[in-house]
Amino acid sequence: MNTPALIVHARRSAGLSQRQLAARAGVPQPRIAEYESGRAVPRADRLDALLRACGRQLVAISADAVDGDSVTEEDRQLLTIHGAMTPAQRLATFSRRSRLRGAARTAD
Amino acid sequence: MLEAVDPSRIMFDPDGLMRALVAADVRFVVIGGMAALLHGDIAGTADLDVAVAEDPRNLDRLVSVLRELEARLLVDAGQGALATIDQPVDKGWFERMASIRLLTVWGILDVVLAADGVGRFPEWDRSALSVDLDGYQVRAAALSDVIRSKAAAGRPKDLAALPRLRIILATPSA
Repeated sequence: MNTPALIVHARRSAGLSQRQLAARAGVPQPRIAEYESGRAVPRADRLDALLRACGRQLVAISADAVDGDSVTEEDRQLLTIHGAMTPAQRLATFSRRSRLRGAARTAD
Repeated sequence: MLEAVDPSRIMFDPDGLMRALVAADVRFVVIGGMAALLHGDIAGTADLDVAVAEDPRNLDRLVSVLRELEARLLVDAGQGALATIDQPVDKGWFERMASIRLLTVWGILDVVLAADGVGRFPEWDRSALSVDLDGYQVRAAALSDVIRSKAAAGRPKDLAALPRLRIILATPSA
């Protein structure tokens, strides 16, 4: 994901307009529009401020550490399914599995 | 006095634990494996990790609800065995230790005062998100903070989670 798409994605995921993000991050709204269109590129500290205002954070990770190859295809499919759930549904699914495991132990 | 606990017999109901903390008005952020799960991870977890605000009133509320939950200190008794220490929860524990593992009626609760890679409650809370659960809300650590913490902790199970968490982080929300 490139920087403009990252900012747009973070802002929309947080349910913010450009104006609301501007107020939260202390960055002028026209500047945010420039970042989102790719006409300007934010410095790392400003990008971090924008992401934090969206409830996210800039994390530096070396490229060789971003290897997702160790995730199996089955896990990728499960991640997709979980990704479509709400947090409440994820918790309910987990709790249900925990209860089943507990019941199985009780039956041992 | 130590009392042996069979780890396979510990039930775990994170919903019950979180509801109890919320009902007691404890300020906390869900961190660790449960935060990862709320963000969409598929790995299970055997405990609830929370970073708590360390102001005296919050610690009072925490101690009060932990007593209601019959919390006891949980310690490693060696060779995979666990034991509880029969002592009433003491506010002083939270002022002196980096993390405290407790066995409650809803399962294991790790109260974390200082976490690897992230720090204390204000650092977690700064980027945390409010998450709607079934009839209540909790603050869940930002996924980037969960990743940072797990990378810093460096235990095999933490490192094993990183590729999945990075996939979730890179996936646009619906």
